[in-house]
Amino acid sequence: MIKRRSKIYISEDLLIETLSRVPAKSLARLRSTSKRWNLLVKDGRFAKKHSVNAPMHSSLLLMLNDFRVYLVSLDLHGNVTPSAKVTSQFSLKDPLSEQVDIHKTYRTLSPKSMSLFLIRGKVLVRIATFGYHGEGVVVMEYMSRKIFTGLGLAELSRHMILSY
Amino acid sequence: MSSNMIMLKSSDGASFEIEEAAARKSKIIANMIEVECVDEDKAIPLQNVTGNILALVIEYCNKHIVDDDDDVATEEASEEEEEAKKKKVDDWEAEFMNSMSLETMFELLLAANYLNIKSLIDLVCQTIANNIKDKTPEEVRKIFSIENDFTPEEEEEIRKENAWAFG
Repeated sequence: MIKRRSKIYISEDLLIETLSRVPAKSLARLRSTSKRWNLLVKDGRFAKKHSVNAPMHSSLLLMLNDFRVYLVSLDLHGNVTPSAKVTSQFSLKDPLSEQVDIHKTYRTLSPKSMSLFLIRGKVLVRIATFGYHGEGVVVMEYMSRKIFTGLGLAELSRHMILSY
Repeated sequence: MSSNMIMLKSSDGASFEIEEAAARKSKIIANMIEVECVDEDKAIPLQNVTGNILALVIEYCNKHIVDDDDDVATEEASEEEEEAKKKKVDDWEAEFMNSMSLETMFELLLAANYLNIKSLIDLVCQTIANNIKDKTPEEVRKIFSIENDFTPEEEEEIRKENAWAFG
């Protein structure tokens, strides 16, 4: 047991064990605590442990209604009552400015990532994949910049934070 | 169920008597029992754990050994009973952790780690995590005795990167 100026000094393992239980948003804020913490939180192995231990405050759902896709933030563990909130709406415009109807969305099975697909003609197109990446939910990949621009990246990134 | 008693001795010389079944919550002590390192007349010296912390560890182990016994006895308990029992344990744990300072929590965490009691490590880590999740980096530095080793520019840069979390 190492003591430092009568203060407790805990090992890296125990620090990881503790920080992996801090919700992602708080963790992002605490990255500026010190260089050691910043490196630790950015570490891929830490992210993996965090995804197992950290509480999921809300999950992200895609809702399809009237050919439009909505991003719904679902909170089943809220302090008051479970809640569902529509956090943004996607609309997809063709280069010719024709609104494209979205018939079906699919999501991947992984709880930590989610894909948005649409059927265009007879082709299934993956528009974007969202995933946890250490500091919130970010876009991991997307199929075509053109299609994606149609989605409005700025609007999307503003809302994605809410999803974790 | 064995009701053998084992003696534990803290770093500051306090002796504690504990049921073997409760002491087995510690993998270290369980191993010592397995290889018959434990002499009934002699206390096991725990050089890294002070008396006040060891008392907490023993309180935790005693509570949880009773619960484990219940699990065996009532295997066909209904789901509601199971849930009620789990809630009782959760409530007890919440109160147990609530009664101690952050500094004590860190000491308890070190003791749990030294004695290798996984469920207690999990409990303390979760409690500390809950405790720091709404705190600022400045407050957390104080709690963990961390020096800010960023230059103001570096710190600003990281805060900017994570600006969404400061809202």
